[in-house]
Amino acid sequence: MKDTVRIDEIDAKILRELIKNSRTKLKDLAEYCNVSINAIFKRIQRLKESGLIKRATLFTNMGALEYEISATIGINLNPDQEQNVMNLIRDKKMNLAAISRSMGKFDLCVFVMAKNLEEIEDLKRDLILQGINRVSVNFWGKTHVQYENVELKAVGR
Amino acid sequence: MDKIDLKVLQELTENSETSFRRIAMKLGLSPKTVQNRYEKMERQGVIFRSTVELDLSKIGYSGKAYFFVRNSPKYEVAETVNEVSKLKQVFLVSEIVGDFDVIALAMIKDFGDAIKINNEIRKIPSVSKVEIAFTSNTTFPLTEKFGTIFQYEELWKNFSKK
Repeated sequence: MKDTVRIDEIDAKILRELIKNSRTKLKDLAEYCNVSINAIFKRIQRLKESGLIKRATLFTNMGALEYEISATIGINLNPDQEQNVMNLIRDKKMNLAAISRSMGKFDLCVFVMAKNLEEIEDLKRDLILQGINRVSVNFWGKTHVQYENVELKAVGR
Repeated sequence: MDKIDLKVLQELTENSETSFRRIAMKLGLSPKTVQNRYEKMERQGVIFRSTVELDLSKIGYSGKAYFFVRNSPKYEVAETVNEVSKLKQVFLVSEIVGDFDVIALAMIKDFGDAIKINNEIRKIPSVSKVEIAFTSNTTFPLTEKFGTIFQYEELWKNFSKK
């Protein structure tokens, strides 16, 4: 178990606002949380130092940048095939949103963005050529996000 | 989209807290130009949002669960999406086309969480089947749907070639 960080209601409020917009001004956060700007600054500093906030970044909508197809590729493989599969996917130089080793239905979940169907077909074919027979391709349609559904508060010790 | 847009995107992807003034200075533009570009890209939907990336293992999460859901043919897929979206801890739901009809991503603290969500999804009348995959990735809300610098670097190379 990694070191956990204690956060209170105000920290959680700050986190939620920053998830919505990391460019929110300290002044506005202070007003919203009803504490001083200095307190907000210190809290954010602490959240960053603890590693809970890793970085401030941008979500780009790849669909608007010609990458119109997003797909999830679920793969079932034997442990000795994993390295080859990783290398194959890396060498494809596709735009990955994420790649996760997983347990359960699939051993590997690859979230990929592509400009056309051929890129996905090509990946699937090469995986099968590698001896991976169970490849499940699912293309994404309309997506809904509800980040507020996730509980943000300290647990355990 | 032109080279200036991409440079602004790149700067903000590295750190979305950077002031427009600083980006302007670095790129030799006026702050107003940077702001206009940002607002334009937001309008066009290129920028989904400026956000922070959290490591939720720091507050006790152990991973994510991906729920792959099959919809009963008697119901609309939208119904399943709507019901699953209401569940606690589920932060992203999408219609998908392929072996399954809906995918849902949830942050989980332990297997108990995952089982609970799984049971709740099963109870939805429009759902006919649920399969789960677990991962120990606790990064949030970096989703499996929206890109950041990781794949952006590739994108950048592709654009530079043109």
